[in-house]
Amino acid sequence: MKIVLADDAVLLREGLGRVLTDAGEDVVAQVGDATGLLACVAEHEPDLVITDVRMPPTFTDEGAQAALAIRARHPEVAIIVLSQTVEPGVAAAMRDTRAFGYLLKDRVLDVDGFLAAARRIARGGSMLDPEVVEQLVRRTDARTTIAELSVREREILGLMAEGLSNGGIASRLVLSERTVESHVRAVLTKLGQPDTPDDHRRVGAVVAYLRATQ
Amino acid sequence: MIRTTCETLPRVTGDVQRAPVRTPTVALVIAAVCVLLSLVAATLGVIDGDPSDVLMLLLSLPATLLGARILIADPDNRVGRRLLGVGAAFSWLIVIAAVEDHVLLELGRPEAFVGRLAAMLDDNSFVLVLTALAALVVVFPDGRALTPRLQAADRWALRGAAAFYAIGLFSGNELGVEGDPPVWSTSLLPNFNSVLVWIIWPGILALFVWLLVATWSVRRRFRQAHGIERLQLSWLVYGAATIPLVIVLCFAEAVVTDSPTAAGLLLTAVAVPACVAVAVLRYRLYEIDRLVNRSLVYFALTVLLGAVYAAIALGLGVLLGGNTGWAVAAATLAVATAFRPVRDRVQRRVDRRFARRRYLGLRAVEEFLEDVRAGRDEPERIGEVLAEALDDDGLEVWFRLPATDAWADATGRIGEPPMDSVRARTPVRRGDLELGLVLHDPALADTPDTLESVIRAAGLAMEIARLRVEVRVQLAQVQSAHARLAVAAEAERRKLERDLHDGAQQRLIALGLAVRHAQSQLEGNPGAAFTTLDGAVDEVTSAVAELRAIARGLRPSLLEGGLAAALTGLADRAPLPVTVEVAPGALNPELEATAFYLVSEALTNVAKHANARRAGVHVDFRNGGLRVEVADDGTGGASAVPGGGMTGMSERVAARGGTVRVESPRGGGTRVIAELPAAS
Repeated sequence: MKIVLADDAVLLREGLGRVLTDAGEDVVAQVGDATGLLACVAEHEPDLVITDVRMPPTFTDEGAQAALAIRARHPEVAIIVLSQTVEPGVAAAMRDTRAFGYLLKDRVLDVDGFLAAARRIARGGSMLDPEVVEQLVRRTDARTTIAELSVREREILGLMAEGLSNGGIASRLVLSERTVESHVRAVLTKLGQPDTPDDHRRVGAVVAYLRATQ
Repeated sequence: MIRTTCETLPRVTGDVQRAPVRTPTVALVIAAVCVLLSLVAATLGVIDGDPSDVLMLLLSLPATLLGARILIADPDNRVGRRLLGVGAAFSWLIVIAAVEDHVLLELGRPEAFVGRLAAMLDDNSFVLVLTALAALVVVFPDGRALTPRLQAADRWALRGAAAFYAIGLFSGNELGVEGDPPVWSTSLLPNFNSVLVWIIWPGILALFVWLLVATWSVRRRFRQAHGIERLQLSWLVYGAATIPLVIVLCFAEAVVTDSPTAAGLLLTAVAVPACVAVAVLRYRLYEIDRLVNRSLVYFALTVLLGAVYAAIALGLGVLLGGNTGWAVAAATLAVATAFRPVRDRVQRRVDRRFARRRYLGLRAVEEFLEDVRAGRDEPERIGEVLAEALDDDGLEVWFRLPATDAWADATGRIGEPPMDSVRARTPVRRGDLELGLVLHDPALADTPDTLESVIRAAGLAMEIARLRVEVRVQLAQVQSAHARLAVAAEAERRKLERDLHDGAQQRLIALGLAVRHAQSQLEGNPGAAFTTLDGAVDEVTSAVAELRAIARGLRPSLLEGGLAAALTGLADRAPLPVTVEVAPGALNPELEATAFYLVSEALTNVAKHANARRAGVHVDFRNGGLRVEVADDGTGGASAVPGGGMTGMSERVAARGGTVRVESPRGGGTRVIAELPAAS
């Protein structure tokens, strides 16, 4: 898997590069800013781009903007946006959630989990950091329909956002797939999103919901 | 002194600046002759034992001397000339009368030529005096009659009076005794007297009409006049008002005593010249409305209180039967108690009748004060109230703020009172205290008594209003400083968050990744894993240092040893030599922290931008507050950039009520001076 890394923190970038290389991935390029990233993607045509959100010059959302640009110009490239903190807006900005992941930076320390996620995303999967859902669920004021979800449904929403399939959720929660199925249907209904068997579409539903409630 | 006064009276003394200025020699000679004649008359009066002749000096000297005085200041002044003319006419009148009395009555020589001549000249001399007075009044105060027609009439009146006087010399009844032979001439024209009657009586009638016209002209001029001219005229109006009175008195005297001489003239003779002179020379020294007003008040007051006193003293005297001590004491007490309220009441009555505008203005201000006291109105509205009371829509009030000496309007806007040529400025004071400024229509200065007393009455409201404005201004300043501080605090928190996320957190993640890498190395290449872990430990050390730096930004632990020690600590860390001088003294911790941050920020700036070789920190205690100065010998040219360290510093200080000043000439080093007041 050809990977391009973008982060202005050199130590972290190189550390991640080494770990990915250790795991047998092919890190074709490392860059320190968004402009360099776009040039790199055009040059190397990687399978996956892993980029930090905050980069020079303003250290706000250069990475997220770059991700949108890459998606527009190179729709086949999978993207993982890494962030120091959870900002649901970054995920909400991504309309096409196929082959897209939004994760907290510290997830990279769980090397195996991160690699699995990266590979899944590179294959077209979607994943939102559990923290994103956590924050969503925490905003349980009357204005949001999240408040109408039961505890179990919230749990399932979080796993849906992580891009897990019904089977994956069932094994994680030790439930029957049928039960999970009905929960998922209930969640999507309550959020006003169409039910779909496609896992990454369900992430898309979560993102759509995020966008609507931003 | 005189010149200054004259320059402010353009119409009266517009000729002053006309070159070349002629010397007033002629005027002085005439004046000297007049004085001489008057003194002769007075001397004769003394010799004859007739004090009235000495009193006559009052008739001639004022007009003569005042006329001369004006002509010295301005030799071309027509008012001065005519005033001198009045003096000359009076001098002539009294010296002739004195000689006549002396020779004919005192010496008892009716046949003496000098006496007869004097008697002849004395006849109709009052015409000269009255004409001179009318001539003065008609051209006052600008030296020109009001209309061309009046100007012509004035010329003809002067000629006519001279002719009339000359012809009158031949009337032949100079002794007032029928049948006496005249001094001369009438013997040449036997029936001259019967002709004269046809000249004299129409002449006197014409003079009477002319006097009325002159009085009317003054009145009309007064109605049209503004400003200084009006003030000048107001003097003359009161003086001239005596003229018709004089005429009546003269005729009455003539009818009663058969000798229309001078008793009535005395009044006019003193009043008119004195009023004219005051009007010309010192137009604002005494305001005549006020004099009249005061006179009326005190006259009425005296009458009222006198009546009260008499009534009580008499009444009690009768009741107590001769025990007058008690009666007098009670009457005195009653009068003393009644003085103030009665005076106020009488004053108000007089104002209402004679100074309507002043009365209404004062009443409006008093009602407003009453409302303010009762909490029904805001003292800041004093500007609007004054505008209404003085009937001036453009009136504006500015307050002098006590603490800062700044100017503010009623809304608390700080600024400078506008300097416009349209409005006059009258300061408002209470004792030595400057409370504010009233910008108003200059026409209000025509009635300075009204203006000043209304503004004085507004003093209390001004005082309260300016304190309230001051408090409001300060509150707004503190609020905005707090708001800015909140913004600054928010910015600081963001910066801290970024420092943590982008610094320490990244390092820790990198560290984790390094350890993961080492893990994978352990399997194939344990030696390399050792190097990787070594690097990881370095990372830990860096992360710890970074966290420590962040923590130091939060709370300067340095301060625990006192400000001086903390500043020395800061200086030690600076990348250039810094001298620290702190005056001994204890401070509250908040003030110390503010000073510490200030110096820290300033030294950071020095290190970053100043390119300095050395820097110095001075801390002095002043009035319980603190003066902090940080100076360097660098390139200068520093300025406060919004959001920069300098601005943050200023806001921190401003929030504590202090100020920061930056002196940074290009190439001349930078001095940051902060004044921090004692904690409130």
